[in-house]
Amino acid sequence: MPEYNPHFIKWNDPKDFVKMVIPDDNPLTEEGVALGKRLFFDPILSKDKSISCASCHDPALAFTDGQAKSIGFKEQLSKRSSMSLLNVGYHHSGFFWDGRAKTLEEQALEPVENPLEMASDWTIVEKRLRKHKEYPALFAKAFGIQEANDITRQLAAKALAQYERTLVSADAKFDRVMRKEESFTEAEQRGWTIFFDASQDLSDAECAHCHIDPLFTTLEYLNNGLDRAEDLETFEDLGRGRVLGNKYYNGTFKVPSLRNIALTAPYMHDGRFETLEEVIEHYNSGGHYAVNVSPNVRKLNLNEQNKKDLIAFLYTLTDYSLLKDKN
Amino acid sequence: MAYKKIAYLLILSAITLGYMGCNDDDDNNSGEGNVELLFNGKYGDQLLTMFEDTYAYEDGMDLKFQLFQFYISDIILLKEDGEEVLVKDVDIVSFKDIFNQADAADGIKIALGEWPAGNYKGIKFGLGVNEAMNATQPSDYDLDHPLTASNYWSWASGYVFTKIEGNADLNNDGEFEEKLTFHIGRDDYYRNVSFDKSFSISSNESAVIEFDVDVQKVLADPNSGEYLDFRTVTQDHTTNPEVAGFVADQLMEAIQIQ
Repeated sequence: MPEYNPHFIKWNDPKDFVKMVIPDDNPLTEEGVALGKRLFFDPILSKDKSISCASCHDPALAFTDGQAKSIGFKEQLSKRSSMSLLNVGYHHSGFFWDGRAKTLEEQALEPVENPLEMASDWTIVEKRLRKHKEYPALFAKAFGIQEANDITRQLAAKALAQYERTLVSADAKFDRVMRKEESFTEAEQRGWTIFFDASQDLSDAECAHCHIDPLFTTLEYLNNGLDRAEDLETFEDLGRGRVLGNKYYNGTFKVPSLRNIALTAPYMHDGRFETLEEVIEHYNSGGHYAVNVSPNVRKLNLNEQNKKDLIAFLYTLTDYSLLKDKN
Repeated sequence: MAYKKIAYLLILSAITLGYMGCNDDDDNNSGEGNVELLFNGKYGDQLLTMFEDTYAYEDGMDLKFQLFQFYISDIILLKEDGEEVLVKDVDIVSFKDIFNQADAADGIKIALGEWPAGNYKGIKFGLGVNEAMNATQPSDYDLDHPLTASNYWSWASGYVFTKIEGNADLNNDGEFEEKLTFHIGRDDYYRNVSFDKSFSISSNESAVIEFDVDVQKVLADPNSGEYLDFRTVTQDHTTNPEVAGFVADQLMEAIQIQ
């Protein structure tokens, strides 16, 4: 086994980002991140070695997959749409659309054994990794294991979490404008104003209540009025409510980040909207009635110019710097 | 912004240390005791819950709430001898997770930590955050700090002091379709409240200072008869001074020490 001499990464948070919380028992190291990246792009984690994490989290699509619902083992559709992984290191309210995983390390364990996704078994994956020509040495460099049999699912999850924490998006045109390195076009500026309700001279799209910068999400779990519900038990997908066992959270989902939104279609937890235009029409209508729909989702009265301007602004949230991150 | 935070913390520390330095010499009591604030959410005589209960409002309207929260800051205990003890810079009183009567009866507790034993005659605090704190931003603080991004207006460089969100049933058909969002911030709407109340902090004992907060009074002034008429006004993002000022002023009236 190679010598364990990890190179710890001194992490610098982007301007205006809250400090990333990195677990004491899983500090970022160059070796850990490299191992995590290798595992992320390796289909060895899936039952028939056909699917990697990157299958549903493609860097070119801001770490989503372009599908309404992700395609897993044997072409099965997963329950929900793939979420972007950019800036997940800054998420502190849980992972997945329903927040059922409390940490990135916990999250990384689940898709491997989800029958609709990788459909594998961690015991099998551990055996594969232990027998692999290269992985034992990579785990030794990252975590100081003494022998191949020391490879565990927990260490694999730690490595994946380390890599995911490095997936930071903070260099979109929006960021460069905020840093005064560039300027918005007139349409983008109007869109910014509409998005943030920064002037009484233009309409208010009510976006920033839930999509506040710099992450462009509050990380809350909300009902954005996608479906009419006569009572709170009738949602097809209970979302956060099922996790918490609280009916008032039924039909609520994690507010996704709008960073790179131009690349992450289709939209919503079930991918029901194919375009940003459809999304804006939904919010412009005020959404459907349920007693727990966020009151910030309300009829907007945006005109056609407002909608175009809003989309122009949303396109400024695309960060091209990480989109070619291949293994 | 970091320098503003540092400057603010230095001022806070200096004031606190100054006060603490005086206390030990003047008191007969010694040691420290734990202090906490308890806020009971009310709607008139009823306990305040989110979603669960329906509340009768003005002019035949009914209400349900989804969120009621406000920042309290510069929390100062007033000693009998006139000294002031700054015990906390900021916290948030949020009824967001109060979904039933049992939780409502427990109220919202704000821990203030250990403070010098002695006799006190009152307490004062700000509603919202002061100008210096309002010039900071969430990235100046740790993740678990009360001044979070979800209550921050980046484009206006300030925090949302008070949020009231809910729904109104205007025509009593049982559907609460009118959406209500009142978000009040900006320095102009920062308010201070002070309460006379004798209490003691005893060594190694807990002292609880209890308040009722009546959200009905935030929306409707029982003295003047003025109220927010949800048939005409359903939201304000501190863009209408009349509404923002009304909410900020009424919140002062809505908090009563017990």
